[in-house]
Amino acid sequence: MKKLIYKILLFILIIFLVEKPFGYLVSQGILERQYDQRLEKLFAGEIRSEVIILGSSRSLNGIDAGQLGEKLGQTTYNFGFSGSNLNFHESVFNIISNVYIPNKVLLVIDDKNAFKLNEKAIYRKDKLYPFIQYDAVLKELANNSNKNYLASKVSWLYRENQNIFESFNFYLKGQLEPDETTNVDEFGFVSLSSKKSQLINSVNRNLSFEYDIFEEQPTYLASLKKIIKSCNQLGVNLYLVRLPSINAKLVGYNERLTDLVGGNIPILDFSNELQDERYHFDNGHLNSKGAKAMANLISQSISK
Amino acid sequence: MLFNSIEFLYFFPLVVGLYFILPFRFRWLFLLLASYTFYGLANGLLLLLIVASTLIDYLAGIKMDDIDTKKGRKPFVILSLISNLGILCLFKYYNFFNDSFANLFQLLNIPYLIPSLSIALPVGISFYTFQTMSYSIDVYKGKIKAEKHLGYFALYVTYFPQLVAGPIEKASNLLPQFKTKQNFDYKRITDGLKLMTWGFFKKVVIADQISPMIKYVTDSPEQFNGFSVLLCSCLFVYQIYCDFSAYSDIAIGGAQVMGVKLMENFRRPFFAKSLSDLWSRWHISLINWFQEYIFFPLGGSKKGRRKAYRNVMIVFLVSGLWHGASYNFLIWGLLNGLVIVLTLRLTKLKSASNKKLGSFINSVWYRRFLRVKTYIIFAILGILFYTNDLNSAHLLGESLFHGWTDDIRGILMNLENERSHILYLGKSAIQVIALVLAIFILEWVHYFQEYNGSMREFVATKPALVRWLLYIGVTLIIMAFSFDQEIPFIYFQF
Repeated sequence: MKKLIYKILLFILIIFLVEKPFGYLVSQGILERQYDQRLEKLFAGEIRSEVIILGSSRSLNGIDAGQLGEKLGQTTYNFGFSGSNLNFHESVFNIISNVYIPNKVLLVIDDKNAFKLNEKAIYRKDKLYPFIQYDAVLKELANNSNKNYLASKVSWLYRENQNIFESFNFYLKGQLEPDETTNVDEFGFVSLSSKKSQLINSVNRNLSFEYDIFEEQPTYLASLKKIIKSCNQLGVNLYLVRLPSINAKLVGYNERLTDLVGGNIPILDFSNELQDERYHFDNGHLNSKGAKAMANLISQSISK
Repeated sequence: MLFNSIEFLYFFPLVVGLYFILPFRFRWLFLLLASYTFYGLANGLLLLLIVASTLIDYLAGIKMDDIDTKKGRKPFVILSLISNLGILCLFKYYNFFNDSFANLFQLLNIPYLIPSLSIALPVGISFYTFQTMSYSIDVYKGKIKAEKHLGYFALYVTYFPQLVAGPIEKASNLLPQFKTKQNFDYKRITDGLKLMTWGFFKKVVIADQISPMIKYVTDSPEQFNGFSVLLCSCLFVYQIYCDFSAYSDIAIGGAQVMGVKLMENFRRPFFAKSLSDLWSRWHISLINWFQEYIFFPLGGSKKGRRKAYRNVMIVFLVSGLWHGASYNFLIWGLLNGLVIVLTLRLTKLKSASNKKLGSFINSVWYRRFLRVKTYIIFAILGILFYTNDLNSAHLLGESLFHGWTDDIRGILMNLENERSHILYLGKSAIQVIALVLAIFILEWVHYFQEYNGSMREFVATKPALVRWLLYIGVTLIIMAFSFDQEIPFIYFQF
């Protein structure tokens, strides 16, 4: 029996030594592969902005963080991620607050879909995996997927294995080309063209529909509450932001948000602002002009 | 608990270590507790079902053992069969038949008030109920004596390596092994570990990589033409083979580590030259069960050709239903039976055509042709297996014969990244290359086993450095491919 135990221990030791360089190569390749390096900059200490913007593509494309920072006189950074849901926003908040504590957080709340299960807003594991070498990211992935935290701490290769093929692609093809979800500027903002409007004009803005409380997912509500709780504990000023859209009006949503967050969290409702088509890329997203105008409106609201 | 979970990585060495440390008289109890933990971690309540089944079959066996005549034993075997089939019908088939009746009544415009049940299918129910039924029938027939020790019998029903997906063991094979003291045997243990590693390779590196490709097609079947459908079907055969045979390898290897020899469940099915040959190499323990408890009692092939065909069809009908309570599986089973019956019917015609082919039928190329033909038939029938309903199966079945030129053009021209959709089924080129390499390794191992014997013995003849490099390499590959999704074994649902 001793012989077998010794051999197994030797085998584990060799595996332990050999898998590290592989894991290291994967982790380096996958980082270099990314065009969107916002999280890497956060961990490298290059981002310590006082104001942070969180949300989905509506926030990524809808608030010009550079403009907002200028107007507020406070450094501002946009951490919006396209196609992400509230669980993911909570993870991004946790990752940021693990590195440093911002002064203000603007959480952009989507309109009808914020608390509802939908294919367009998911937990974007793919956005976090490239940065899994950082413990804060690993913790969030372990909490929100089947990735095993302990095994990831022990094995670098296991920790990085989701990145293997993309990492390999870096060594073959180099860095990813930017697109409208990753082409971030120095403030983390992605501007959408003012020229290529994809507006559907048939939408009647004068129509309205009731917000349906029964479609809400408990996990999304829980994420919102956790963000609020963490902000309270850390002394961060949290603002919920509703951005303009050219869609039928949502009735009863502000009241529901107030119910959920209590009276102490300001809800900045801009859903009826900037209704001119020149501000919109499509019915749900502002273009670069809209994002600038939005930044101005937000700064006025916060500065009041 | 899944074999491919991190928890199993802690569980198995702990159980094996304690098993060998404990005195022999306590081992059965320890293994029984370990088995209940293994099963109960997923859903503790479902353990009650196994315990109930165990108690009923144990008592029925004891009662039968006391009675000399078959007639006297009959009520008890009926009790055992009714309780096992009752559990199976309630949990697996009730909703299927109830919904079918509801649809029929709706069609006839008659009100139907019996509600469906919202109950989860207990993992492995089809395996352990079949195993215990085989015990009861064997005791009834007087082939074996009933097990008097409740602990050993409970262990036979729940032995954790093979509890949830087989192999379906006969009591005459498994029970005596629990009663034999197993000593620490270096070669047996390392052989078991190697077999488990091979199982993990097949599951993690092949089956789990194909799984999203199949899902990519079944999620929107209307988007695919003939080439992609055939590719998907061929890949599905590899997926289900690597998934299920991996489970069997891990089960057999795990049991071997503890000194228990489980039966072989797969014997390189892709070397089969006909569908009936394939079914003698695929899920062998289930096919043996069907032969022994359905085919032969019905008369087998000894009561004339027609009855033999009927019996084959009955076996495959039951096999289809065993795999799942849906029309897809039912038709899948029937079509498998039909192909085998037709092959048998055409035997005369075949021997005449073989004469015309002359010496070609003895050539390697003819053998290869037969293998590929069998594989393709099995793959196409598999459409019914991997689709969720008859509509999707029908859609993909139809697509199989359309759009081939569009697909080939799309692959060659790759306009708008069509190659990724048609050829890679949603994956990237590099992932598909890795998968093809893994399948190539699998086929090479199979080829070696078919013509040269045991791969483990072959590897054992190599220098230590080569062996260690191989083991380390395979382990690293498994670690690299074990992503955050622990994809459950497909046969868990049966």
